[in-house]
Amino acid sequence: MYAYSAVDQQLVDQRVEQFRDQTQRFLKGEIADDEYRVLRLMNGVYIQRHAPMLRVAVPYGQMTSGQLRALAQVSRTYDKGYGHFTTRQNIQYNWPELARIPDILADLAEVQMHAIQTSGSCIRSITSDPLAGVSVDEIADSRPWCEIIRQWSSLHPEFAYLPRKFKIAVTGAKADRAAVQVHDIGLRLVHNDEGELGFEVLVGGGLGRTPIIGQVVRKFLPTQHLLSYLEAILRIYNLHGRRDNKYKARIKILLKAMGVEAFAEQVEAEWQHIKDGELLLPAAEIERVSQHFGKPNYLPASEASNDKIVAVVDADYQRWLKQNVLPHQQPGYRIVMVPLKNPLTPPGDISDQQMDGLADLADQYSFGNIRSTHDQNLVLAYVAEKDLYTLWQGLTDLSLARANHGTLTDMINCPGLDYCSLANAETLVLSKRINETFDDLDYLYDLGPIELKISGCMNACGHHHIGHIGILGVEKGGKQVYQFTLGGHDSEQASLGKTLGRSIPQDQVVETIGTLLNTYLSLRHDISECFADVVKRLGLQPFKEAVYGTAKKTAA
Amino acid sequence: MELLKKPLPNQVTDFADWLAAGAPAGEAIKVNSDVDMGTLLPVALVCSEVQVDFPMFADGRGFSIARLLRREGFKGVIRAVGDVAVDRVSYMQRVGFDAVELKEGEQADLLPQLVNRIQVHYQNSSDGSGPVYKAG
Repeated sequence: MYAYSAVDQQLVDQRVEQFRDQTQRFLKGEIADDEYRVLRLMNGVYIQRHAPMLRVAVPYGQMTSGQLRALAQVSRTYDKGYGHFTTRQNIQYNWPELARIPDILADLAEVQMHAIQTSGSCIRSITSDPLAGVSVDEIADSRPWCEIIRQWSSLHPEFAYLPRKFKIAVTGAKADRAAVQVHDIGLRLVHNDEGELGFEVLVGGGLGRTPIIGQVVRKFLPTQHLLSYLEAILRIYNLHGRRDNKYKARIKILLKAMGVEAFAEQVEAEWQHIKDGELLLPAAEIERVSQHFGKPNYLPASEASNDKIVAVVDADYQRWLKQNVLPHQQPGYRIVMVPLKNPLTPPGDISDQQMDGLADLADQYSFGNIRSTHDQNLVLAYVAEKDLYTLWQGLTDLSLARANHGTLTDMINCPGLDYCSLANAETLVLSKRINETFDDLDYLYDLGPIELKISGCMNACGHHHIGHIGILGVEKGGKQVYQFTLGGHDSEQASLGKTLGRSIPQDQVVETIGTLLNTYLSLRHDISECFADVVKRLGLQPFKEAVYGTAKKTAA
Repeated sequence: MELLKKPLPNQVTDFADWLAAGAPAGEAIKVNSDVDMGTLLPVALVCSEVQVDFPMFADGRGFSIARLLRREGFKGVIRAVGDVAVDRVSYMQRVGFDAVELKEGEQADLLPQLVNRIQVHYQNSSDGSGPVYKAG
């Protein structure tokens, strides 16, 4: 876990005072609305449907227990006692008062947190694999590189007024748990033929109105050139990205217009100017940052594991163990997924008491470390097998042990019309009904891993394009209706879902999901063939017939 | 405040007109934010001043234009003109602007305190200060 140097701390502290001054001048009428809007966005402050919304950065999803307690305290002092984890691993507060936001940021600075560039047309907070440093399929730990990028991109003077927002994701594992193919820049840690570590660089992926899978612009970038290459990409984008139409302003549109070869050539030409200059990363700096992400003080496997505890006869515990607990790269340890998918609250929501309780459990059983994931869950990444049963009891007391990780009800959901001023349709009512209808865990396990993703507007914060089943809420003639896309995938073989057919009224969405699931169950070879694989093999036709078949017959 | 003291040139010529006139040395020119850098960089070094227009504050191309001019070795004045507000001047200074013409209604007296509000940086800068890891 990265710990701030004196310089890091000074930067965040001074940024808070800068924003406090800007907010005070705005409230006195000395800064115009449209000017202040841009300044506040770069500090994570939106004006939402009901109140300002503050998005706090959880850089690449890493938190300490102290930071999680501070987030709980903020929710008590300034908000309504809960927070909402987002699909970009950050946390949002929906009800703060604008004049008090500088105080919130000052409180967060005390625990080395900030809201810098969590919004606005700038380089956003960096996202990564929540299992970095612990997964069994790791090539190299992505976190040091994320931190190096976080620092380079923070308050970058040249790239604060880009054509549009800019998102960077990094993964260091074989499986892609960071959705790098749908980011403006996706970085994959790879080894070249000589065994040297570097990055495969993808550019131009993204969801939103024009979903596109990113393209490889460089197969291998030596690690010491990371920042100069990113700077070259950003400079080309800043100069040439479209600024006349915000829906065509993302780098994916520029890449499409130029063609990937021409774009890569321009980046390469710019990079030649700077590659061996000031941005060349010194080995000592890479080492300094990497030291913050060393292995914790693991117990020897013989002490960490305990076969008897793993064999506890308790059906609920066994389900949780099977569903929410993953293998670990350290013998005797496991990774524990903590789903924030309570059927009674919006996906990603967590109360102050749950945050405090989880922080305590992390201190006792996971070296005080907590991670957030892009599917709106949390992770305890360093749990000794001997502690699993006690931890499960603790999580159960906090209502954080629902054994639905990776199942249908572990869905991604944007807040929708209930909170967001951009939304066209409600989403939370759907997740509630889905939870009520599909509450039989055995049925969910029988379905296998399935990704359901729901967005309340075309901006696609719910990532519906890459759900096995994606649902997009739209407004038509004053009514909220929902478009289904099938066959999307956010793994290393990322693909975008295809539109099923005409929109479904709100009161038929759950029934339609049921029809799709039954169709899938009747068509799949076995549980190893997931929903998206069946769509790939057989196309949309059987699903169309199942959903619209009756109506078609009536029409004919 | 040094940024506000650089005297305005007597005459400023639009880049296209200046090129058409044979790119005479020693003059002040003005470029738009969509200027083609491939055309500008090879000829700009002979100018006494390059004014970079910000048509609206959200248009950040001017930051890269100034950065590239300095990298090319331009030693004259680079002045930010157009939609220029006090809250953006610190970034302008760091990418190579050494003069700003604030838009109407801006509180120029705030500038000295605003440009020094954040005193540490992660990036190298055209004024010579390096990223923090270079200092350490």
